[in-house]
Amino acid sequence: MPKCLVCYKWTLDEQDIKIEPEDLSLDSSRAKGKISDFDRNAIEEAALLVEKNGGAVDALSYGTASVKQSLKDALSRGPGKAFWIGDASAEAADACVTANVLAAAIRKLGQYDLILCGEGSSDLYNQQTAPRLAALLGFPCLSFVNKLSVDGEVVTATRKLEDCVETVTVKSPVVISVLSEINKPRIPSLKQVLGASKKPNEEVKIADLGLKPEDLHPKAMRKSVKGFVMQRKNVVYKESSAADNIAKLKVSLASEGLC
Amino acid sequence: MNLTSEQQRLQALAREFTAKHIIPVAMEYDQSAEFPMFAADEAKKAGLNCMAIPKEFGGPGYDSATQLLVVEEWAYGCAAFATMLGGNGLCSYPLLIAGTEEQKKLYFAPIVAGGFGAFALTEPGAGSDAGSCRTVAQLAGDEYVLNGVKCFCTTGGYAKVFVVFASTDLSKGVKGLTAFLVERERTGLAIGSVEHKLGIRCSNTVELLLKDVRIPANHRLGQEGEGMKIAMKTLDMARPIVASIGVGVARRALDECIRFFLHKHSDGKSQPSQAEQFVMADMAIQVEAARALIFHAVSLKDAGLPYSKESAMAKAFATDTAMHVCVEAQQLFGSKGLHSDCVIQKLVRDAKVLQIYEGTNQIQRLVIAGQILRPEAVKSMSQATGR
Amino acid sequence: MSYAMTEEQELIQSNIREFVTEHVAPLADSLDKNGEYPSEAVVKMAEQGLLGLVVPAEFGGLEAGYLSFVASVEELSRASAATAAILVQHTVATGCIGRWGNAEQKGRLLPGLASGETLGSVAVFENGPKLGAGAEALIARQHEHGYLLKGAKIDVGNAGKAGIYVVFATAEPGDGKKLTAFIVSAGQKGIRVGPITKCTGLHGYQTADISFDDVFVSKEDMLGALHGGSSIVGWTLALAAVAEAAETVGIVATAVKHAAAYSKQRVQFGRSISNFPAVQIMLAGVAANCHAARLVALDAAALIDQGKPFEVESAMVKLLALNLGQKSLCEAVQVEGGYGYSEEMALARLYRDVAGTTLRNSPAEFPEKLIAESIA
Repeated sequence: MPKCLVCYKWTLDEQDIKIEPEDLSLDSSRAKGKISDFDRNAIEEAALLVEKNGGAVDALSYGTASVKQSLKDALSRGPGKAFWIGDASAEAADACVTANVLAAAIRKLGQYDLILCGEGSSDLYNQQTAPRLAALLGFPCLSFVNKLSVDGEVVTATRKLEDCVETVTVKSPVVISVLSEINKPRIPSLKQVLGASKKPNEEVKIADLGLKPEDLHPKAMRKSVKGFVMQRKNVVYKESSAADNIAKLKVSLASEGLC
Repeated sequence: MNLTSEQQRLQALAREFTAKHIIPVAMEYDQSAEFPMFAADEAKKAGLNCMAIPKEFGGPGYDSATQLLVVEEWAYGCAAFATMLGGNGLCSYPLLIAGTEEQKKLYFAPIVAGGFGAFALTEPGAGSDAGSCRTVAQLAGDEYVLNGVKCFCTTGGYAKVFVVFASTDLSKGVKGLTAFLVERERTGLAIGSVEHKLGIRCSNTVELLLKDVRIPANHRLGQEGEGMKIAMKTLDMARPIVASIGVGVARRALDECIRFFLHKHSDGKSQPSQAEQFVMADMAIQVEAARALIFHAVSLKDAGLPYSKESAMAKAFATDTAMHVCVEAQQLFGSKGLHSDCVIQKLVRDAKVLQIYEGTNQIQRLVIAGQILRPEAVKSMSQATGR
Repeated sequence: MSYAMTEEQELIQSNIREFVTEHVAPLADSLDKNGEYPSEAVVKMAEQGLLGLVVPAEFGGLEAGYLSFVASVEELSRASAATAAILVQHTVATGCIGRWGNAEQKGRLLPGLASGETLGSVAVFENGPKLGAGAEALIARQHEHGYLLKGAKIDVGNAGKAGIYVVFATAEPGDGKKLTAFIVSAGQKGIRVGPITKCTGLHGYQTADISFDDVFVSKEDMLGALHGGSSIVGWTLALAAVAEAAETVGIVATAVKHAAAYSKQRVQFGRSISNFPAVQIMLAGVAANCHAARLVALDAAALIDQGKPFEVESAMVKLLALNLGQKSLCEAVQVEGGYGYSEEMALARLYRDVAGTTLRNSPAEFPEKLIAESIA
């Protein structure tokens, strides 16, 4: 009967973000919020574990004031309760700050057997939250997890690494970050969507976490964020016949390892 | 409209032809999208298959107004049939405009004999921007070698002869476009994909693939670089025909509404509501106005006067009318108009293409605006007002 | 304006958007081609909770209200108006019973409708100049313990799939003003569903004529009062008009999106045609009208939720939808030119579908009549 906590991030939906063609700056004015993609997998994985083994899932999120918009969405996907920290410090928070805040909150919230999050967030994709959290909490960290099971105190995970697949067992408590291939998040039913407003949520005030000012000060400062527009190679093959052009294209593709 | 007795005769002939051969089967051919070859045979029997071709080449040499009257009747039966049967006119015009006697003989003969011709201008990258054709024609000794792809070629899959537009000098852009006469048997000419269309479904619309197609140099129509001029003059001539298809379709939609309401109120006790009456009155106004505009354009042409503007007006107005009238008709029919066996839903699908082919109605408006905003036009305006 | 979407309504809308992308959009094209009733999609809609969206919680529904229903219909219609139409026809029947049914009827019928175990349908229209007055009008003749229904209804949606039909019959032949509503079980002896009508669009949404040959309905199956059917049919058609307008809006929204995307990548005269004012005017006109129709439909739905009269607003919605529907698709196809006319592209199906959303439940009178009567 594992007690799970999923840490998720409320990000902007990148498909609503427009890139200004002149200076590649981002126009996010029309962007709606969404739960970071891999965090969705983490929430789903926790929900599946609890459906199988019993137990409970809580959700935790650290963001700006907008994080409140995420609560019903998160609660419709399985967690029984959502904790949230809405603070201006989240705007410029780097991986250190994020981990400091989450770790402090987790210490306050109580004992969890599994702490899950996505491998990386859909906006910054630092992939640092889980390892930092684990280090701060003194727990083992399992990253790149694409399969997970629990048996009592023992957690078994399959990790998909660059050149091998590793199966590990660990005793809870443990911090786990999951890959998107671990599951396909189900679309909540309308009943779950409407039921979310009946589930509890609780604000955790950053002032109550006992953090020092330097814990909230980012060590890495983000100076600017620009859009990336893929530049086409614009190579034109002008041989006299289509067959010659195709032959040249084939050579070019092969040299890039594409065929 | 004052028709001569000959025009009246041919209008009646076309009306009879349509009632006998087209109306009974049009829905069936729309469902199956099968090419109605039989109609071409019947048109030949009736002497209507090569209306644009002059007497000296074996054609009937009918005047423009006659051709319009016949096409309107065909379109009343089915726009797809009208497109197919009227297509021999469109593809003949370039020859009338720029063909030598030899070329005319060569091109007209198979059409007079009952075959089809086709007009190949449009390409995947050259739609409204007809001048940006990439099909090329390279002079090699006493031959031209054509390479390229044409699309949306009407009746291309069955045509015996084609007028193909290709560039003899891509660097000259539109001024490099040239018109060519190509026979179907030429090696390297192949029919590509067949379009599955929303409407005019039994009309054959295909891709034309040209790979090293060799034709004698004397198959060139007019001079190198005159292609766009020939194409524009062809379109001037063809637009009233398409406009008449629009009138035929619109007239059919109106008649179906009239039949519908007469049947609905056949008890004699009730009648269509005022709202319904007014909608049909508006339809009738537009059908008459469209026809009048077309015949005005054609009267200018017959008088040897410039008529590009009027031709574009006729095409835009008549085909916009067809679309508008069909949509209104669909509304009057209510849920019955949704049934596959109701001709109204077919008319709504068929009418749409009329606003697109033969120059979209946006291009027509560019032509019209270009004409009315000419400095000369303003000059004559101020002369008229004495200012 | 009568509403602002609550957080919950927005969550429902985005949930259904996700649902549609996953479960409905992938089926839309094949549904159009094979025209088979999409039972799998209907089951999924039921599992999602859509079939009981407006049913009170005490009967197993979600009690989410008509605004959410109308918003959901638009989301569904963006992908497949045929699928949306099945839900609309069902919900109109369900809503009708919810609004006009007595406690026994609601308790007996709403749970099955909410769960999707029973599909609902409404049968209103007949052949003939006026409802209740034609030769084949549905007549209700008094019988021991109830009535016998004889006559025919045309163009009934969800025909052959519905478990219950809400039908409107006249107890006084020739008098369309004295209609009575009945709930008829599909399995009742004497009901004959005709062949499914082949239509130009909305393939998969089944409509057929239904004949009634002395079909028995008990007194318990009378919906509302004897001769009280006129106001019920008015309410029913008004609800249908609002929901169908959402279908129209969904189709047009997708058409605009497709045409705009096409115009961006189509280069003629050296630039993308999206730069030409002629194209911009077409797209803008359609987009503006679509936006207006959407808001008016949602507003009318909000009135229903607030228990306020909405028949006049519904007629305005119908008028806007009629002007929006086919014309918008004509414009969208025009933007795409020759390619837009191809059945291989998305617009062709939308062009064929849209008329069904504005015309299938059209009463004989123009919506203008109702509107004019309310303002003059």
